[in-house]
Amino acid sequence: MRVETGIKNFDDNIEGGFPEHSAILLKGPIGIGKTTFCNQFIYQGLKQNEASIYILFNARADDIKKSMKRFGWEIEGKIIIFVDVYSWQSGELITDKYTIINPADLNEFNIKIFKAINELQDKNLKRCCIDALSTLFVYIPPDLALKFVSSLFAKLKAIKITSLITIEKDVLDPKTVAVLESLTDGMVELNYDPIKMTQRLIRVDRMKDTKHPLTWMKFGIGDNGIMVV
Amino acid sequence: MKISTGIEKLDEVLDGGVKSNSSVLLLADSLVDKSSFVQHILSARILDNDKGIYITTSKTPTNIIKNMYEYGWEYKHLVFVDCISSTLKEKPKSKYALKRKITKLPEAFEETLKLFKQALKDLKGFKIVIFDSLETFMGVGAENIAEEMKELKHLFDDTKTTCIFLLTDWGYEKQEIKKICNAVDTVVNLGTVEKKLLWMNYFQFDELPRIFFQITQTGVGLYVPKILITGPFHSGKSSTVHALSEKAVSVDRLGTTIALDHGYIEKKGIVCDIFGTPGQERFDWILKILSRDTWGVILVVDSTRPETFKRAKEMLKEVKGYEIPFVIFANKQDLGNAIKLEEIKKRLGLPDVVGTSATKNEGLEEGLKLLFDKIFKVK
Repeated sequence: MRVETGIKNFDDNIEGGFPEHSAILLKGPIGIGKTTFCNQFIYQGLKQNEASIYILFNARADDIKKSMKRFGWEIEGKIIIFVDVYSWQSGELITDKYTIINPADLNEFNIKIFKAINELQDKNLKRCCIDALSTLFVYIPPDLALKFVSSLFAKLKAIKITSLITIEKDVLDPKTVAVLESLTDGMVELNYDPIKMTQRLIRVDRMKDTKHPLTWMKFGIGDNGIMVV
Repeated sequence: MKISTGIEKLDEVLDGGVKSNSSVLLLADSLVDKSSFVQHILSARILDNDKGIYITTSKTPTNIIKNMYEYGWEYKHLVFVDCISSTLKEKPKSKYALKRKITKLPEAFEETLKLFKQALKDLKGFKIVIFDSLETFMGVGAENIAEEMKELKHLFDDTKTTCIFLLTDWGYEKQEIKKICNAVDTVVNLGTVEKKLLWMNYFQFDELPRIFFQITQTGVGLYVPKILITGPFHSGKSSTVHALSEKAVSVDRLGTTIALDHGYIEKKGIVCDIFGTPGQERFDWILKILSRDTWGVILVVDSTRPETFKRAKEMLKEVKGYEIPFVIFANKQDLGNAIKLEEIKKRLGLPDVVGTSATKNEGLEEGLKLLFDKIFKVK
């Protein structure tokens, strides 16, 4: 069984989708389309009546819903929990039980993620997105953050969730990225063409149990989301 | 001298409380809200006129106060050593605060300790310190942290300070944890167990049994996930459930319970879910289902109908009442034709019989306390 990303012409290149119960790292510069990739991945699951958890570091749930709508991805009535690690910055009173109050408090973060998992565990919970994990390292010493991430990935795998984790390029130091890579089962990289700067490129660096090309492929973002050319 | 933690059962397992002028480690797994747990203790100490110092590395002082306020805990004159606000680009209000974000961990640790020691010197009288939490600095090495903690011990003696360190175990090496544990006088474990998608928190000292708790609006309360109330038809089980619990629901038909009663008790630092079973024999299969994982049993018998005692004993056997803690409520003691308690004890041949009246709400609390004592028999 493969876990489809829903991205046209991309799934075909990785045997139909991500390997089941894997954790995939998605790396790329700002504005390249990492969040759109995540949205598409989540929507693909929701469309198939899977439940999802979406952990947000750089946007509110409403922002995500709005950008999904632009592509015609309607998630109203679908089973999804947004864990919001973004809204605390506004200083508003937080009442939602899945909104993090202290971004540096991994204990709170962990408890809230597990509450979400608990709520969805018997509702066909299959996918999880973390966008963007690199933001976590702004508030938390890297040693501790990596400990946490490693325990989180292990748990997600144990309960048979396929997760997609994004990191901003050049935000983290290379050592941290190397550890993150070792904790995941695959890495997909997005980048701009160094010559023709407006051209977006995608490449599968590695993916366990998957035969895939190592070349850069062109992709664009159209009316129906990301499409590999 | 021992000082109370404000959590009765914790005091009991610690033989009267925490030693004053000593250090305690709360070693928590990642699913326990250790901060709230320790804030309950902090509140109890402040109410006892200790000065409170809160070293925070992951929650802003504002959020800590908000949390304590919501639980109704005492935080007056609480002094913060604020090591997080600057990281979050917020202006720290406390006198003892890191003024800027320090990216180098050893330096941040050193600065934090400096602020901590300064606060200890500035404040007079008995002090309670919360260090929330150590994992922020684990990157400097357990050995280094342990060494500093050992050194602090002398300072605690001189400054009349009891310090509670918090550490969440994010999967550290056993050796690392051991080093930290050895640097304090007392270690209490905070853990969770998962049971059918239900996470239960517990605290544990030494090799003593785990004590389950829940943090509710009244603070840290011991948690008994399931108590079963059973007994023959029409003995007053539902009335007992409703008398014990303000918000009880029953699944019944014309006043006879056909599936279960459910109630929730929050009293005297104990939180408990109670389930009442049907009494009729044709529902014995439900009895068997309900009796799974139960922590204690209340057997309700009708004091006016001794002919039902045999059935009552059978029901107790059905729910394995002989192996788990149980008490017997000799109900309807308020009625004129009720048999005397002594006589009931003799006829049943079982210990721990309490005279009750569910309708008049008499004897119930006493009986419940007896059951809780049996369940939490620590030593």
